[in-house]
This record gives sequence, structure tokens and C-alpha cells, in this order.
Amino acid sequence: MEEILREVLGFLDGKAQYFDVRYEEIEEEKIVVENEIVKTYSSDVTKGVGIRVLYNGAWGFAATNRLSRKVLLDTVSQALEVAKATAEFKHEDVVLADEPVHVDKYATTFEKDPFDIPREEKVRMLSEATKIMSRVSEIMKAVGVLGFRKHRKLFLSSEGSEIEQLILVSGGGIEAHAVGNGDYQVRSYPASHGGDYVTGGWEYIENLKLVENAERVAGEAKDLLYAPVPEPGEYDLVIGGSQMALQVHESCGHPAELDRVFGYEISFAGGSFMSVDKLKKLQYGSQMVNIVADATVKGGLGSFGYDDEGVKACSSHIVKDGVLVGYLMSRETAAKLGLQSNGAARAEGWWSIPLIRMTNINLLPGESSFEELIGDIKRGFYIDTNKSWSIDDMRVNFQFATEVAYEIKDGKLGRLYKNLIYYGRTTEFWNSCDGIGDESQWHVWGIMNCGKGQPMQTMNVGHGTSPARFRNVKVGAGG
Amino acid sequence: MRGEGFYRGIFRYLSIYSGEIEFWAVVEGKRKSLTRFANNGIHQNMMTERAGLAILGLKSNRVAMVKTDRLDEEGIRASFDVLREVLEVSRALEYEFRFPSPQVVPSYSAYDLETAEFSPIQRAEAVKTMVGKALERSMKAFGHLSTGEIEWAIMSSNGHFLYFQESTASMNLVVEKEGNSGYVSWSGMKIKDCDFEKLADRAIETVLKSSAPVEVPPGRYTVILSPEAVADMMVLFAWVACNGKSFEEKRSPAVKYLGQKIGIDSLNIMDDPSCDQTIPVPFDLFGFPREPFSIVENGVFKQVTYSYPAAIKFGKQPTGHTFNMETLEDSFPVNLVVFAGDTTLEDMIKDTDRGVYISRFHYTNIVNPMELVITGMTRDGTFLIENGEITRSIKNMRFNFNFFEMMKNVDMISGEREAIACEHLDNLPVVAPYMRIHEFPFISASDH
Repeated sequence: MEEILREVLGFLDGKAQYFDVRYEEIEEEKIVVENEIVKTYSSDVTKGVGIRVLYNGAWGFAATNRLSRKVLLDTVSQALEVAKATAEFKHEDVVLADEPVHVDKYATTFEKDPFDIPREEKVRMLSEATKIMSRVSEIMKAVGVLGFRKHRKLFLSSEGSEIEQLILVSGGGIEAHAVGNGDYQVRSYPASHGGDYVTGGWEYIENLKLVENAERVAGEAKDLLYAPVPEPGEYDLVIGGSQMALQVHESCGHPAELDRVFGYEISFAGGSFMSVDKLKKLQYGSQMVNIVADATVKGGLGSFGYDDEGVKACSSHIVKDGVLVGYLMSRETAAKLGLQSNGAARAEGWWSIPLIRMTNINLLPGESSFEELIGDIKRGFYIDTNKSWSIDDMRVNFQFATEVAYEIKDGKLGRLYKNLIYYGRTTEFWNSCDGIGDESQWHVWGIMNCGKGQPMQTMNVGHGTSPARFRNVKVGAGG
Repeated sequence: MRGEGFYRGIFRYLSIYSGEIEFWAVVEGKRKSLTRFANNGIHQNMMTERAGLAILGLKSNRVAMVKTDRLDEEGIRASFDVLREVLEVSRALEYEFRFPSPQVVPSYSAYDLETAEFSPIQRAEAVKTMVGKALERSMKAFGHLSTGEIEWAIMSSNGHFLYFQESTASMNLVVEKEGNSGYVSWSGMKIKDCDFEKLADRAIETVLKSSAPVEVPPGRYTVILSPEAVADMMVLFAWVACNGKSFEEKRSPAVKYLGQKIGIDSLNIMDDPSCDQTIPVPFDLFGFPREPFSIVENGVFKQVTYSYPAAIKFGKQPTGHTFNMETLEDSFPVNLVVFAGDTTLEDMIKDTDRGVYISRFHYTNIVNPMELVITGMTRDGTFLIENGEITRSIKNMRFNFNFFEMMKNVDMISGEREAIACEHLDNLPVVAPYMRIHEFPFISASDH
């Protein structure tokens, strides 16, 4: 394939300013077991080529999964034709920030390849977990999910970069769906919306201990049916790590995407309050808030060797000591600020154009133990596991709901509540943060379904978080 | 695109390599082009061709699925090798599953060659038209224009072969000036039905009537929802409340509201592939005919949808709504149409003493599925209505509303309708009118 690609790229020599090609193979396995029955066991293989061309300061992209020499030559021509059409009506010339030429290989570190684990073993694990959950009479539906992805990429650019990568993803989770008392509640483990994912191997699945957690999860789902809803008001909150991951994702990760800041996403997902005039000025959060974009953290779902325009993975601050200091950037957008890219241009697959995406957007750990976070609250809630989310088009006004809320009274955890929602404005909220859990509570949560762009691209991103405390947050009862 | 002849060819490989496995195979091939623009210029322009084959295998009442985009003999042979292994470790379904016998399906026409072959230069020209209108008013334009074609083929071990080809087009446009914005979208199967100038004028008009937004206190207001907002809300209703599987599992608001009068007589919601503003699909993924299907009729929540597997499982009739090979028991009405009423937008506004006009919802999501509580924000033009007139822009507001409570509060539905490009449905058209709703609850405001 590499030889054909070089020949195909030879067609563009002298015809374009810059071009790159990505050949990708993606192998996926997804298993969904519901009440001990395998509802989905899918095995998916896709291979294809995406070609990006910069002509006269304008981009064109074409992609195909027909891999004959003839079709690939046609696809190169289409990419060039599209770029020429863009050049007819561009806003400004695209300039790429410098990036060294890389000739390199990268592979996820793992112990056990999940694709080598017998299928029977995977099914047995989920069947057992769902069997245990189904023993609780209120559990109408017990679900177990495992997912694995092996993503091989070959990147070649007209600048001479040649990068091979193998990214291995593993993850899963369980959900107990309880019906009773005129209500319907869901409890998930270790996270909602399909579980938790890492770049790594089967060893992560073993550590999750899905079977061992099944009984607890089902019991909590049942308890939620009979739990009270909170009285609306302002409360101090300790937000668990899993929910913090989504809080960071929506209120820091997305608004820090520099293409959003420049308006490229306005007609669809919206813009960002983090305009460039606020860089190094905006007090985004309290002084203890430090948020980094780190594509190098071991096991992070957003970890890789190079992004999809050949920029080496790195770590950089978005928020430092509470102040906005950086963005997620591509080569094109970094050049507009006179900076180098920090390697955030990512494509879902061969069929997608690289867009600015989150890598691992991590809230760095603080110094508090969980007991210290709770102990300093007279009246509040400890909440965790996302149930719903929404944020406005500039990423200011947000609202989240969580699966569980435990009352905190005089520094002690109390009874379980359900249907808690909390809402606020991003910078007010982050400036009310006065406690962040220590490193022992820190975990990089993996979100498999971050959506962005048109056509919609779904991306794997990570968020390192520990529980954190926020003061005087508005709380309501969601229905 | 590969065309019907190609898929008839691979049917042979499927039959050869399936052996003892009964199979149900679905191919989806797409050729899609997309131009995105921002700040009055094109910034993203692409063309993608992609085809994939999903094979659902059945053996001893066990089912499993493999997917591949290798549509040659070797790819299909390899897929059956994997399928064989997966079926071995799967478990028998709790209900007796069999593939359906061939059905008679309607013959909708949904292909337009001009749309399928709309070129990059033609897209650039259309973008220029919209941007040009914005520039005349010193505004900035942002949006997308997408054109392309999709083909489906269904093939099964019990003799099904169905093929369908459709063209698709969609656009959206935000125009902005000094922090005020307006929005339009359109979706359909014929690009010539998209009047770019007229649509741009509508978005521009929203900005022209805008002013520096003021904050209004949270509370309950009479609102007039645009077709964009109505469509957004109705898709969430269809997704959460109309799926027969969740109804049977008692996880759906249909448990409480199915068969009930949920709104005024003129509230009618249908899955209607015969509507000329939708992109009709003649059959679902199990080959069941797609006929007009009434969901809400004269204000009564009449019926829910059943995929073919869910219909077998729960002893119901399949309704032609299986559209996801990975979650076979789920179903969705893909040609959603909300019927027109008998008033006009102008009369709705005139008839409103104090209220809020909402151009577009943003980031709607479900807070409580059993009661269908929806949260979200307004955007791209939120206005105060006073004494029968739009008087000023207001800051965007967050809402949390119970869908069924709101439907009871609908008192006016417009005769005008739009085929909007629905973001929840990858820009497929949803046809919707304007609606006036009383006691619509806002809980907080944003700062823009």
C-alpha cells in the first residue's frame, strides 16, 4: 500500500503547496449483553485513504475505501479539484505553522491484546455481570458492554514526514436499569454512556472488575427508585471524578478549541467565550485550577504519538493557576497566533478531515483527600456519574444532571437523592472551586463519543480528574 | 456509486460463503460532498466515498453481526469466518427469531441526478450567493452546504434483494452582526428546491430586527417556536417516547401517555415518507414497507414504532422502522412530519401580549426520560414580544420543560412549514410549523 500511496502522491508534486495522505485500518469489536443474552456482537473492519491538499492557500480533501490504483488516482484529482474550488472563495490564505519532519513509529503500550482474548471469555464476563444485576427484581434491564479498537495509521506528507501508529483502545462498563415506584432510574459503572475506555489492553478490563461491582450497581439503581429529589437551592458540591470529566470536557475542552474560537463551528456547535483577546487575561477559575492538554499521558484515551497532521504529541497548559493561557490548536490555527501547533488536529478515520479535537484535557490533581473535601461542607451534596448535559453555544451557561447525589451534612455523607441537576456559568463556577482531590483519586476517564464537526466526527478523548469542591452552586430537581 | 448490478454480484458471494448460516445483509454506499464556510469564506471542502456491508448471521436462534468495507469475494469470505466464530460464543435469543419473508414495498422516487452530481464549483457559487447577501448588509456568514447520494441494498439467505438510491442535500446559514445572529436551514432531495437567496434573506431579516440583547428574568412565558425549534423538540419526542421497545420495557413516557389526548386537535405528527418535503425511504433495514404512520392524531398519542425484532419479541406488528443494525430492537421514524395548522406566524405574534420568540434551540438533551423533560438553550435570535409585536432582542435562556405539559399548552400552529436540516438526524429533513406555547419555563439566562 505504501508504494501505491507514494505513486499516487507523486501525481501532486508541483501541483499543490502541501499535501498529506492517511491510510488507515480500523478493526473494532463491540459486545453488548442484555440480561445474559448477547444482543450485539459486532466485528467491524474498515480500510481507506484520506488525501488533503493545500492549493493556493485553500484546502481540499477527498477520501475513499476503494483502494485500487485507479480509484486512488481519481481521489487525488478530486482532492485537488475541491481545493481549487475552495481557492475561488476563500476567506484568507491558509498558512501552516512550522513542524519538524518526523519519520517515526508509535504504538500504544499494552500487556494483553484484547483481540487475542477468547470471545467466549468476554461474553462470559458480561453474562455473569448481567446475571447478578438481574437478581434484583426491579432491574428491568441489565446491560454489559465491552469495546475494543485497533487503529493502524500511516501518514505521509509532502514535507517528508512518514509516521506509522498503532492505537489500541479497550473499555466497557455495566448499567442497571430499574423500573418501579412509578419511576425509571439507571445506575452505571464505572461511568455512564457506555463505560470507561483507555488506550491499553485487556488488563484494563480485568482491573475494572465488572462482575464484582454488579451487585452494588443493581442495588443502587433500585435505591434510586425510592430516593427523594433535592430541594432546589444553592449548595456546596463535591463532584466525583467521572462527572468532573464531563464538566471539564464541556466547559473547558470544547471552548479551548481554537477553530471554534475563530468561528469555524458557529453554524453548528457554536463559538467560544475564550476569545483570543482574553488569552493570558481571563481568570477562568480559582488559583488552584490547572488544566492541561496532554496527549502523552499513559493510558489516556486521547493519547497518541502524533496527531493527524503529523505534529508530535505534547502537553501544554490551557489554564494555569486559574488563568486562560492556551488553546487546542492545529497547524493552520496556531499560525494565526504565531505559535506552533500543540498537536490537536485529529480525524475520526480515513474518511474524515482533521479538525481540532480534545486530546486528554486534564484537571491536575490538588492536595485534598476525599474526607477533607467532604469534611468542610455544612450542607451540600456529593454527586457523580453523568446523566444529562447541555451548554450554550458560547460554552457559558451549562446544566448537568447526575445519576446519584449523596447528601453532605456537617461534613458527613448522608442519604441518597435522585434527579439532581446543577447549573451555572462557566467562569463563575470554576472560580468557586476551592478544593481538588489529590493524586490518589486522579484517573483519566475515557469518553468514546465526543461529537464535533460536519459531517459529524466521533472522537476518543480523555479527561484526567479527581473529585473537586465548588461553593454555592445552583441545584434543581430534574423532573 | 457502484449501482444495483454490483450488489447483485456480491449477493452470489454471500450465498456461497454463508454455508449453514442464515444471513441478512445490508450495504450502505455513500458519496457525500460538503462545503463549510465561516467569516464569509470557505474553510472546509471535502468529498468522501464510502461503502460498508453489515451481515447479520442467524444460527440456532443466535444472532451476531460483522461489518466490513471489503466488498470483494475475499472480504466476504473472511467476514463469514468471523461470523461463524462469533455465533459460536453467542447465546440464543429469549424469543424465536427468524428472518422475514419478502414484502411488497412502495416505489418512492428520491433520486435527482443534478443533486448527486453537484460539483465543488457549484457549491462554491451557492455559498457566494449567500455570503454576498450577508456582505450587502455588512454581516458575516457561516454555514454548510452538502450534496451527495446514498444507495442501499438488502440481501438475505431467504431470497430478499432490495435496492434503493437517493440523493441528499442540506444547508444551514448563520448570519451575524455585532453579536446578533439569525439562522436558517434546509434539507431535501433536490438541490434546485433550495432557494439560497430567499433563505439568506430570512436569516438576515432576523439580524435586522435584533438589538442589543437585554436580560429578562427566568420564569414562565408564552413562546412562539420556529420550525427549527419545533423539529428539535419533536425529534426528541420521537426518540424517547415512540420507541416500542422502551414502551414494552416500561422505560418510556408512552407508558403514561400512549392513547391519551396530549394536545389540541390540530396537533398531528406523522412519519410520512410520502411527504414531498422529506427524503422518502421505501423500506426499512428488514425490508418492511415504509408507509405513512400516524404517531399523534388529532392530539391523541396514537401509536409507537416497532422494529422487526422488537415486534417478534413483544408480539406486535413490525411498523417499518428498523434503522440501526447494531441495536436491532430499537426503532425510529425517519420521515418526521408535523402537520400544518390554520394560523400564520404573523397572527401568532399579533395575538401575543407578552412572550418570547425563539429562532433555534441549542444542545437539547433529556433530563428525565419518563416524563420527557428536555433541557436546552435558545440561540441565533431570541426576542421579546410585547403587545403583538417583536420589540427587542433578549439574552439567550435555558429551559427545562416537560414535553407533555408543553403540548397541552400549545394553542396555535402555523400553516407555514419548513423542511429543516435536523442536526439530531445528520441533517435529514424534518418538516415542522411554528407553534405557540403558553407557560414555557425558563430557568436561567446566558450572558449573550
